[in-house]
Amino acid sequence: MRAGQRFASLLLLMACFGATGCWDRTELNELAITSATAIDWEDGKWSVSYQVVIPSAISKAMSVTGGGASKLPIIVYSTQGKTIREAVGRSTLESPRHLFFSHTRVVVISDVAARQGLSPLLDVYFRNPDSRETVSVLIAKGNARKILEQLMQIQIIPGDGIEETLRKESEEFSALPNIRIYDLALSIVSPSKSAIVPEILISGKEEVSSADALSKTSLSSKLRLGRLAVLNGDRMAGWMSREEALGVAFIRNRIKTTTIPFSCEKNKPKIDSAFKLAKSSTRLTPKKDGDGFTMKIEVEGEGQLLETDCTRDLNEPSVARQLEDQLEGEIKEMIETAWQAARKMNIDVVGFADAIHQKYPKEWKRMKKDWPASLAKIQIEPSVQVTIKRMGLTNQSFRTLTEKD
Amino acid sequence: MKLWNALFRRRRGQGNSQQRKAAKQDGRSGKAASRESEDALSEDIDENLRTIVTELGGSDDLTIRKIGVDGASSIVAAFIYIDNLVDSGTVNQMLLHPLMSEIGESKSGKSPEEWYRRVRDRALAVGRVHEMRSPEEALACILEGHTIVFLQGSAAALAADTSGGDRRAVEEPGSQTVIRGPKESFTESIKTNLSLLRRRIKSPRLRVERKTLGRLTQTQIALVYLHGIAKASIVEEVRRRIDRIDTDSVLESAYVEEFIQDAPITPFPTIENTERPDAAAAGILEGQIAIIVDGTPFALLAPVTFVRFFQSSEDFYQRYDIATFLRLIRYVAFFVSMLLPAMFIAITTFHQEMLPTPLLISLAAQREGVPFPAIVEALLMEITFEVLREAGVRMPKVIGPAISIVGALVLGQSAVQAGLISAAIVIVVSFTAIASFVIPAINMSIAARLIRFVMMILGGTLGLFGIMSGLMVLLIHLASLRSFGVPYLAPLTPFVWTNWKDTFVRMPHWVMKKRPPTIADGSNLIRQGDDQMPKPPGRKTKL
Repeated sequence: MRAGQRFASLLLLMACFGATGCWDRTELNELAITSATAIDWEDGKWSVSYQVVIPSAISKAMSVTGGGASKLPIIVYSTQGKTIREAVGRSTLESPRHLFFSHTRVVVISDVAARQGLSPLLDVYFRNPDSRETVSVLIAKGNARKILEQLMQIQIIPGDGIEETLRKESEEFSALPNIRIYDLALSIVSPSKSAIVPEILISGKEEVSSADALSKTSLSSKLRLGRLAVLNGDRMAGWMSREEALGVAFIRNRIKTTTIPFSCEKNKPKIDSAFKLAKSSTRLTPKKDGDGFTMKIEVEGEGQLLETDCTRDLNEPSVARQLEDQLEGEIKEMIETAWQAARKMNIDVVGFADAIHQKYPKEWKRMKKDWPASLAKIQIEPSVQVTIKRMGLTNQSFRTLTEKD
Repeated sequence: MKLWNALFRRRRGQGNSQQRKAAKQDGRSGKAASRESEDALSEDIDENLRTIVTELGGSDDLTIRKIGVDGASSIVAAFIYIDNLVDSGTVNQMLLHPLMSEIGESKSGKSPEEWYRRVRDRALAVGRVHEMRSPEEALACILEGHTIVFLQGSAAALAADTSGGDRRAVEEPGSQTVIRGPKESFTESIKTNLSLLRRRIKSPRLRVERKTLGRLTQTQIALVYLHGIAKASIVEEVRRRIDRIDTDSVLESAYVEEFIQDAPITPFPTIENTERPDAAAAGILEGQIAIIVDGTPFALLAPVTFVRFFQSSEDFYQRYDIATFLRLIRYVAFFVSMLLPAMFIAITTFHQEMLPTPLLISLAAQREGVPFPAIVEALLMEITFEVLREAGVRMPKVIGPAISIVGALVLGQSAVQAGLISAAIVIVVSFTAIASFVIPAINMSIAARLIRFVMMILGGTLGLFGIMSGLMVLLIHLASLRSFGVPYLAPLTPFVWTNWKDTFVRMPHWVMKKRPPTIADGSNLIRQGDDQMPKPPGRKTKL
């Protein structure tokens, strides 16, 4: 190649950078970082709300010299449209910045919208690279936008705070699972064709949506996790209480850590002890039983005693064994309650279909057609094995000492 | 002028192998060829002196000392030298004094031939004395700091090496400092430098080949290598490349480097330079060839591979584990220095989803109200820093602190406070700058500096995709480089396992049993014996 040709090709290459480069370049101050979104269904239209972070306000609130949270860290606004992305597209009519969804932590869906079906939402999440499938899903009763407007005390960005709360809860209490978009999609398309989503609600009266309301040590209302929403297919079907939710979590092997209250003696109505289940695993084994199925639910767990008001000698192995029996009974009862609730709704929230499908694929093909109906015919056989690994630092309860004299 | 022209012509015509052989025997390439020259010295002292004085244009620093028996009519000998090039003590004590006493004792009644022989053999008390028969030889010797002795009645002159004069002493290295290790540095004198090398490698195999380069400067250069350890083919190649240099001046080793390097169009150095005699000795011991140039403390080492530039001589003086850690840090620093601003620009303008949310919000808050796009901001700051650095290097030492105040406070802090640039970019640019100083070889760190700007433009226009393509082009380019036939990326590619002990890690000396086969002669690689790992007596360990 001659020098001239070489130079010309280099020049062309440089022109490429100038001509085609920068086409999707966005400076940081052109972005509206969305920390949470809410989906509502109003008058036959999707209404999408965005909780947009105001970076300058946040960095002021975080720094010592900034003069406190005089400016609010977030702003919430909504747009409507016949489809979700149309609504998002309309945001350009009122937002000076490009909505940026990659850092969205939670999506809150109103129960009305959830009853309409979540397929359009899931499609949006899987189709677009800028919305992540790792977003946590929550369902709110009534207006979902209200949830986004609520400010939080410790976490400056509420969207962030909701996700943190949910994660901590699912790790340390495990009644409500942290369901992400891909979890939701997977369980909707699984053989059981159902899903569970935790509820978020505002407990209290007045909303905390201004800086004034936030400048108190006790807030008039706060965000809280509530019940468990049950989805049949992609549509919401009903609610489960938190106790039932814990039972479901046991059956679905979703328990990481949880605290179980129990009474230390049989037939004693007073709950006087608590146990921390630090490890738990569940095995579902379907057993063909004539025409129907029996589901063996084997739970194995271990943990430590957190508190007791019992006057018995905890050094005695027989006493420890009895405590374990009590706990096992407690867990069995939770499982029974959850199962009854699921049977009543006739929705396979406990995931039995998956277990049968895996163990008896041929039978499953036959059963598939009238599945929700045959769910009710299944018998369950729960068996629980709990080991108390540690009694804690004292072997006697404090009550033993006070009652001795 | 006629003589000088003859000299020039002679240097050009050096392709002739016969001449070169002759030059080697004599040890100085310039003179041998002149034997065939028509010019010859006259038997008359005055005529010879006149020739020389005319040729030098009557320069005032030429000193002529005539010695006679009685009166001007009977001049028997004359000394001629350039004032400040010679060590006048040597001239007075070793030449003048013995010659004068010789005249007093035995001048009478001797033929000029006899007299000449006697002076040559007995009266000149210096180590190197040459005989010369042409004025141009004499002229070259004078300019090198020799003293020429003309004797009445003989057409040959004697040149005594009395070169001296003011020279810098051996001092601590200015640019390649170490905490532990020799504190000596090369100086501007080739003699001192050669002695520093000889003192480190006391082997009869250490070979020194002298050459003269530069038609006007007549600069002495020397090739130093270990016979049998340096590859003969590479030595021959170095010799060949140096012999084909035709230039009027060589003032620094960089002149030679630019004439003999393999790839003239690349930011990467393919010849190493060092001012540390221990580093040069270490290179020679691994089979490199050192090229020492008179007038500069920087010696060249060739061939060299990419990874050599990340080794500091101190790596071999510190414990190997620490040396390994430091070496890894240098590689990291190289990439930081080359890529950090580009990555910053690419991620904050194209790939915001890659950042953790709190960091993104913090960066976004800083960018609030900043008037320039990130790429412009980063380029501005980088250029500002380059200006500051250049100012710091060129400036008189007294004004130094002023620049740091202006640079750090005014440009850094105030610009951020005024909202002209974001604080993050200042952090990025400062860290990049510090990282670029970690690379021990300054020529490699300059390469990283240049590439940084290209990468910034790539990152600012095409994002991470641009940076990746840039890195790929860079890798292809690096793989295509050679240094005197040795692949630049060895031992990474081609893969040479033996060298890996001293590439990213520095293994203990007793593990590195062999010399790098990429550079050293393959027939002689064993550096040390087996089983050298220290151990308690009576235990056998093999590594």
